[in-house]
Amino acid sequence: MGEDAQLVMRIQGGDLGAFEALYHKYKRPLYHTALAITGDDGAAEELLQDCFVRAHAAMDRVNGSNSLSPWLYRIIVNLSYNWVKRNQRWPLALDTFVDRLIAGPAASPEHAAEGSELRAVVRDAVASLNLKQRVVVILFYFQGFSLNEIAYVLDCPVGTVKSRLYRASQALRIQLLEDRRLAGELVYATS
Amino acid sequence: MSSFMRRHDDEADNVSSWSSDDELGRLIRWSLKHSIGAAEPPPGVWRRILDRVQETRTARSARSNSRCSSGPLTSLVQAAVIGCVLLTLGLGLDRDIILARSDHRVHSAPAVQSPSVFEEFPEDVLRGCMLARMEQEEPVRRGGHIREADLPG
Repeated sequence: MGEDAQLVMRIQGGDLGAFEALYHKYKRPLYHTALAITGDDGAAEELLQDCFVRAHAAMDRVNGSNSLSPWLYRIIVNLSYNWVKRNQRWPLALDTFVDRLIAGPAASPEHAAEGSELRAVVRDAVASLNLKQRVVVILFYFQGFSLNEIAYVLDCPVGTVKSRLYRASQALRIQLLEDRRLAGELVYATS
Repeated sequence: MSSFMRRHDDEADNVSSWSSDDELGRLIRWSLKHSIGAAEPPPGVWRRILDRVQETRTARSARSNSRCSSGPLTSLVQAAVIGCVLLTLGLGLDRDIILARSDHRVHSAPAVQSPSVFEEFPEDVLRGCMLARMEQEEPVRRGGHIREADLPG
């Protein structure tokens, strides 16, 4: 029996310690997903709470034989979707994270500056995608989900995931090619 | 660093063969991990989740307790109300059906035409009667006063 299955059985029996273990197992990737979609740390925190409260409420109906990961992602992605639709303010708040977290202390100033600029370019390119494409990109590239898993998380056909991913990828490539901050790279890339 | 910018025309033909480990994927992962990978949910989140879960549990158990204690009475009242509603609906429906039937009967009844009185007499007799009646009736003047000069003869 898998770890998730054991946790589910214990949670269904009313064990809050098992629920806490489940929270600590999945809190970071779920929080990062919410943060990547909403671009707001306060919202990501709130959505993480909502996600686990809902998961607990629905735990009686969960079949523990499979991994809980796609199901939990489904909840957090739906909540994040709704939050973005309600607030319509993607994703400038992400800048604060980038400013806070980029340029690690070990890196040289030149390297750090170069890295931070490239990260900013990529971040802006991802931010320029529409919500549906952005979510697919985050789940596929950032979280490493397969197309089938994304189809389950988003509750849509695999073909839809493929077309969104294809369009997003094309848009990202164009956006990166056209970005002036990478002008030197552009010459190299097109030669 | 710029190799991710190469065109991937072959990929467009076969999206299912994409891997999240391609150059674009590595770039996005690297960028997002550096941007948000170090972010941690605040430590107070679990406490708040636990509070909310326990609140829900308490509310649920209180609801089930109240349901158990007032169970028989509640179900009796519910049954009575449902019975009344069904009875009313049933009666209303019956009346509607009866009315609809009688309407239908009235509308669909064949129109019985009483035989015309005139059909019993031959045509020349009728014409004679009408002429006699016309002679008996006085001429009706319409449109105001008629002067003598206007009269013929």
